[in-house]
Amino acid sequence: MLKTVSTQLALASDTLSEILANGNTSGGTDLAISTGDDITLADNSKVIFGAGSDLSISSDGATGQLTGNINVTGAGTFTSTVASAGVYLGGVVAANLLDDYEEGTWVPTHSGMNATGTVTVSGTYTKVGRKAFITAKISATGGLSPVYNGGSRFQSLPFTGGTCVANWCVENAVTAAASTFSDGSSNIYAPTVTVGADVTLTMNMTLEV
Amino acid sequence: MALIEKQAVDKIEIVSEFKHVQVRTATIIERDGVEISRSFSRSVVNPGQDTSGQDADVQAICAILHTEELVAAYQAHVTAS
Repeated sequence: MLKTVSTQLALASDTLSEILANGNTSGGTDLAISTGDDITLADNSKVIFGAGSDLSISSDGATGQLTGNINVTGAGTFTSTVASAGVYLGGVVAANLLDDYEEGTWVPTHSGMNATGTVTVSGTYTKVGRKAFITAKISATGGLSPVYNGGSRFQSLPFTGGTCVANWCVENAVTAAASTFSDGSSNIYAPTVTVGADVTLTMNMTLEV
Repeated sequence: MALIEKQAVDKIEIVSEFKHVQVRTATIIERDGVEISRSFSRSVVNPGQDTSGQDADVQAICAILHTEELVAAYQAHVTAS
């Protein structure tokens, strides 16, 4: 016999799950919500998960509240697709908002490297908030001999920003020195090095953008 | 199954007093019309730089922002620094 909500409520032994089963074609007692239908809770009412209330979801009247320790498992990721959105870490003021993260590549141009043989250049960057971590790499099978302050430099940086100091890694280097980057410029000058054949010169710099 | 790779300029930023134009290009791979991969590359267009190889929107922005006065000021800054 098909029961209706009113007849079920009139029976002391009836349960909510039994009522919910009415119209559930699977015959189970799970709460199934049809497409386009909702579960509506008033402000400060919660959906609580776990015997120990491990997780609750609610609204305080202004902001959604997700309370509890969260583990994202499987292939799950957090996604924030709105450009101005982000994640607050350690506080809720502007200084705590991580609102930009990006990884990518760029194509360095160079001059004055005195590169010979087959020359290969590549560049990568990672931007976290207002800091950009930039790498440029040049390889030359016949050798490199950039001269500091002699116009040897990487150009076409992926970001424009303030003053920074670059660190250089040079295989087979004879000497190497730090180099600086001027505000508003797009050049990063190479250190004084003399290197042998089949060498790679790598620049790592941090830039505030 | 159709795999399509395409590129699109998806972010253009104008920064600093010299109005450098930062351009982000997305390389998008789609399988049967569904995006399965997106990677980024970046470049900067400085005042006075040739923009002929740039995206049309970038060209239009540079044409407006990079005036002769701005280009001259930037060149003076580069020379000074």
